[in-house]
Amino acid sequence: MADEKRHVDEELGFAVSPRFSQDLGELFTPARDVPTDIDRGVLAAARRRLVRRQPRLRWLRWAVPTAAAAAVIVGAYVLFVTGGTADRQCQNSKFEIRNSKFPPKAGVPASTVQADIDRNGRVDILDAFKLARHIESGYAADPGAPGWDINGDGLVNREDVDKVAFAAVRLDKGIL
Amino acid sequence: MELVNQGDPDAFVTLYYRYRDWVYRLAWRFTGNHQDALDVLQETFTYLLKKFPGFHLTASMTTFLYPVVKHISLNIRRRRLSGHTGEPALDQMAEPTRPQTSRTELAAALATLPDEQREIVLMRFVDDMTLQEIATALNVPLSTAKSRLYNALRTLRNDPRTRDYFSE
Repeated sequence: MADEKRHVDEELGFAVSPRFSQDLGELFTPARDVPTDIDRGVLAAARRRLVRRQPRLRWLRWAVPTAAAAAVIVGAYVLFVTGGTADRQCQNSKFEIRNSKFPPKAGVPASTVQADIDRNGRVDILDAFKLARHIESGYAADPGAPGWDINGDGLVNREDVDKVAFAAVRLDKGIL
Repeated sequence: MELVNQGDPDAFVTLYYRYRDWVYRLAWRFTGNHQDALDVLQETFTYLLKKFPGFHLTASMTTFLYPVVKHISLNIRRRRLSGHTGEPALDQMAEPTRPQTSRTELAAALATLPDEQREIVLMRFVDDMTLQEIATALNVPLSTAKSRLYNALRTLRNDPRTRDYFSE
C-alpha cells in the first residue's frame, strides 16, 4: 500500500514525506476511545440478529427431512392399521368373481373384483361403507345375501370391511 | 464475510473490531464531536448488520463503509444543526484537535483547502486509501480524484507552513 501510494504521488509530481501522514494521523485522532458499553451494545445487537436467523436456517435444514420421515411413518401406520391385516388376508384368500355386473379385465385380482360391493365396476371407499352398512343391518348374514366374505374366513364382518377399504385406497386400487 | 453471511456472530465480532476504530475516527472527522461519532459508529454497524445475510463486497470494506459513515455523519450533523441557531452551530464542524507547534501550522494550512480537497488528502494520507478506492468511495471519476489530490498537494507545497513536508 505504502509503495503504491508513493508511486502514485510521484506520478502526480509530488514527493511527500512520511511525516506528513504521521502528523495528519495524530492531528485527526480523537482524544477519546470508543467506550466498552458501545462495543457491548453493537455486538449484542449483532448477536441477537444473527442468532435469530441461525435457528431459522437450522430449523429449515432439519424440518424437511423430519417432515418426510414423519409422512413415511404416518403412511406406514395407516397402511398397517387399515390395510395390513386385509393385505395378509388378501394373499391367503381364494376369491371368486361374483356379483359383478361387469366382466373383470384380464389380470385383475379376484379379491379386487369381489370387493366391488355395489357392482359399479370399480372398488372405492363407498364399497366399504356399503358393506359396513349391510353388516350393521344384518343383511350380510342373510343366506340370500351375496357372498361378501372377502377374506374367506367364513364370516362377513369388520375385517371384510377393512379389506375393502384397503383395496379402495391402495395405489393399484381396484379398477376393474 | 462468508461466516457472517452464514450467521456466525463471532465472525461479526472480528469484523467489528477490525473496522471500529477507523469508522469512529472517520465519523469524528465528519462530526467533530465524540458523542456524535459514537452515534455514527453504532448506526454504521447497524446498517452493515442489516446487509447480512447475502452481503457481497465488491470493493474493499473501507471503500464500502466510507460513504456510509459520511452519509450518517452528515445526517447527524444536520439534525444537530437544526436544533441550534446561529454561530454555536459552527462549533459542530469537524476540526482537528489539540493542534500543537508544527501541527498547528499543518492544521491551519489544511483549513485553507476546499472541503473536497481536504477530504481527499485525509483519505489518501490518513486512511491510506488508493486513488481508485477514493474515486469509488466518493463516486467520482478517477481523473477527478487525481486532480483534486494534485491541486491540494500543490497548494500545500506552496504554503510556507507545510512546504517542509515536500521535497523537491
